[in-house]
Amino acid sequence: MSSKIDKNIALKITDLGKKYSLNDKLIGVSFRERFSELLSLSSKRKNNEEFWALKNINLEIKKGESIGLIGKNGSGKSTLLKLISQVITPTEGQIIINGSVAAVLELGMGFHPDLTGRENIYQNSAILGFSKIHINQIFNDIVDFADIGRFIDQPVKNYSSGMYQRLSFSIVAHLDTDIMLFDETLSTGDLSFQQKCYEKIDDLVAKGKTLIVVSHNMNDIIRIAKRIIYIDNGKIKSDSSSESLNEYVKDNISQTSLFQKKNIKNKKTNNSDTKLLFAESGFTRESYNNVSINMISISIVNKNSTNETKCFTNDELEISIEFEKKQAGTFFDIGIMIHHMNNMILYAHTLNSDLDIKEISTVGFYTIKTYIPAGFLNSISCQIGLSVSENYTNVIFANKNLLNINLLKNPKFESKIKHIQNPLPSFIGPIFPVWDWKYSKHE
Amino acid sequence: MDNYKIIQANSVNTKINLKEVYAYRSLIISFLKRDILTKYAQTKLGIILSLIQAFAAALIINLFFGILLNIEITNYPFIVYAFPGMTAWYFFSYIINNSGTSVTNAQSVIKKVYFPKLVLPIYKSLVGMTELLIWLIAYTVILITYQIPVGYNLLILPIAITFNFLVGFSIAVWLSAITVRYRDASHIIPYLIGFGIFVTPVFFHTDMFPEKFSFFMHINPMAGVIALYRYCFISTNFDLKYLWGLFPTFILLITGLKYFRKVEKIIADVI
Repeated sequence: MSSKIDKNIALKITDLGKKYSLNDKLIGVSFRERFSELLSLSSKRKNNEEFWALKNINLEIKKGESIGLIGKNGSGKSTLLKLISQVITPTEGQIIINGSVAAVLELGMGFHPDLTGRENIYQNSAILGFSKIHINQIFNDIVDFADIGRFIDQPVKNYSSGMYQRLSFSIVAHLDTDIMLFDETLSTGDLSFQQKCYEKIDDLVAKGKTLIVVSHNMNDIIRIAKRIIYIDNGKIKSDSSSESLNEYVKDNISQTSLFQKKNIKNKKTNNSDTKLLFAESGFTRESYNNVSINMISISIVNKNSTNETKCFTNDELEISIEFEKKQAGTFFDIGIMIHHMNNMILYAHTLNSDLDIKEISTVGFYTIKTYIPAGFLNSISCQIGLSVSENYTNVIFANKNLLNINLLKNPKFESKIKHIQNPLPSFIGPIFPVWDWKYSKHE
Repeated sequence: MDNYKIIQANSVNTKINLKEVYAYRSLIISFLKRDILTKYAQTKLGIILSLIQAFAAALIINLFFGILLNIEITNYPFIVYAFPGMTAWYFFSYIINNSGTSVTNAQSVIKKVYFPKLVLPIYKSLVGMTELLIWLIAYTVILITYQIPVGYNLLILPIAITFNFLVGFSIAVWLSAITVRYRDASHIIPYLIGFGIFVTPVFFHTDMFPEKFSFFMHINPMAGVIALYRYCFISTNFDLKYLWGLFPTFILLITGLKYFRKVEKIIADVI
């Protein structure tokens, strides 16, 4: 059996499926229920509802690959990790694992609050199947990395939550296993520790470890995974990085079509976005009543083509904002924010930084225009948000998700470079600018 | 260096996998240490409290049976005769009480990481060894107080302890597996212990048992265990018929391990 598998494969999954019965009367019941059921001879058990947490999963993961699993809650990502780590057994199909597996399905798993950090290190490693001798060799590395210091001989119940997480991450990161699974257990702790985690993970990848990471943090996923797999409803929906990301975003963020004009009003600003984004701006509810500027609409148009449904990365997009200025002599500012995947701000720019707004001081209706230049963004889905402030201080309108655009790679553009091997993976970030390159030949 | 592991759906494998349990021995030791540490080290009175418990039981039994009822079974004071039986029974009940629920109590770990679940009843049973040790210390004190000499029979003690452990463990494996499927199965445990003490010669002499029921006495493994303990300390004669008790023990043990293995696969799903 094993001879059939390529030596470079770390994990081979064929036709894997995991079924749960929603009302299985056979398991997890009490004697009492079971007896009463036998006595009444009821046929209740017939209407068992089935639920496939995973179905028809086929996957081949090479040694040294780092995989990111994305998908909605309950889509089956964790189930897949649990199956690989043997916590649960599959209903159908098979998994061939080449090498040892360590799974971190939860940080601090098996930590006992009354034991000291030192004792918990041994205990935790023992749960993952490592002997004391092995841990002795790496013990100092674990403690140094976790930066626990003299607290190592204190019971972990006295640890801060950061220390707790650092210690548990550190244990796993130092164990010598071939395949490592992380279920939303990455990038914990403060910024400097997150950085350390990233470096450690790069280190693990460099050592040839196979990583499978589940995360809802897209930045983590993009940073770590070389291959992103999108799981939806227990099936693999996409297995290529850029496609997975786009599909995931498309499925999960409400889409408005490209050329729709969105009507906006100041009054609508009383939503949670406003508070989140501009918590310290000092705006009050009363400021709505007497504002000098009235927002009307925002719209986006493709300048390069008349195609109504698609826009490509090499199209120039024009954003127009309509508003009414009600008072003369007051100042205002308008800012545009471009978000990627609902949380990462790609860039933001304000009217004031590019234009002298004192020019727009008289009362009347105005339209201002700004552009997303051609050959600037990668093929991503992004959201356009808007915020408006008055007299530099009062935010009178803020919404970070007004328009959604879905940029596509131009097939023509792709075909030009098709026969040349691209040195970079197809997706390496939200911005993929087309810039001039100059060359000179040396004699 | 490549070691392949194949996980196959629905593979009917109820082979008892003791090899894997042995590979996880450091986990057993680690769990064991943890429980002993948290049980005794955390509370200042830990071990003393257990000792007091043993002595209190000895005092009450001696007062009730020995002095008030004035039962005299052998040439020995009643408590010297009865205490080995009490010790064996206490160890036995400790094992089933704690191991019986060992799997359901460890659900948070079971859901997150793979390890052979048999580790759980094993280590929980081994924790009982510390209690046994404490009771044996108490018995030593009793023997010294009554100035009763101990002979070479004491060399049998490890066998008696192993037998005692196996009897408890074989039932504990069954119980821990059953409680996975039927949560209320753990309610059986107190009845098992409470009823069992009356059919086992803990406080009485085997001769007091009617002759026609002696088969049931010999097949009761705990009766054998207690007879062995008494043989060790006070050299009462040991009827070899008590070894019949090994049969039900091993049958329970092997079927229990098989059943446990069968349930093991669904543990993470059900718990």
